[in-house]
Amino acid sequence: MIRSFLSRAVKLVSLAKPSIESLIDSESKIGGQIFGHASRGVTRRFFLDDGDSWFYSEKAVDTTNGRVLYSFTIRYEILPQGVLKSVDGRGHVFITGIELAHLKQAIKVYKRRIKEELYSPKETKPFQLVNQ
Amino acid sequence: MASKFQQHQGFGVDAIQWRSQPDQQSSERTYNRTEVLDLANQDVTESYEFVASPVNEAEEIISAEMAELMADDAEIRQMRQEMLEGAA
Repeated sequence: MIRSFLSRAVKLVSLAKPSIESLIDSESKIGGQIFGHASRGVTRRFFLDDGDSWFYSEKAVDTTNGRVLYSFTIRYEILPQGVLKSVDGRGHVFITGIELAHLKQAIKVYKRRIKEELYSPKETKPFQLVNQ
Repeated sequence: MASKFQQHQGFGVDAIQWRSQPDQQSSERTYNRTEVLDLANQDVTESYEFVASPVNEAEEIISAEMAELMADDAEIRQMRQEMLEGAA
């Protein structure tokens, strides 16, 4: 019981002063939902870091034994001359065409959803920040 | 009469394509800068239109797209900042 109380107290303290990391973490969970329903055992995250880079990460785990089936992270760095993509830190290339269009679309949806679900003054519910 | 090239030289393009409107298929041709400058000294009739080269159009589009993306990023960072300041 004491442990439960302390746990709740710690959460409330952390809610009173959210950090940039906790905000990005909450955003990344919302971002991971905008690409459709993920299969069982698949975790997706999509977010803007504290700089000029967007990250899409996906991890699939075998739910029967917890073994990681695959995992990768794509970084999209927004530069004046274009969007530089790298996968797991390799293969840097400027994206064009459909991929660029899809990224732009995803960023628009991300911005709208975090605004509505996380930062809207009327809708802001502090517990959402940690309990999502 | 001012030529179409003179009207559009503010774009600062390196290559310009002049296209004949009546028969675009047969008369389409790309001129290099020297040729364009020669053309600029000639009287160009209204039957010709100015078309920036695809390369330069692509650069313009990318620049606009990046500006839009950076504006989106800035807006997101602003929302975060306001949340942090509001909680402080």
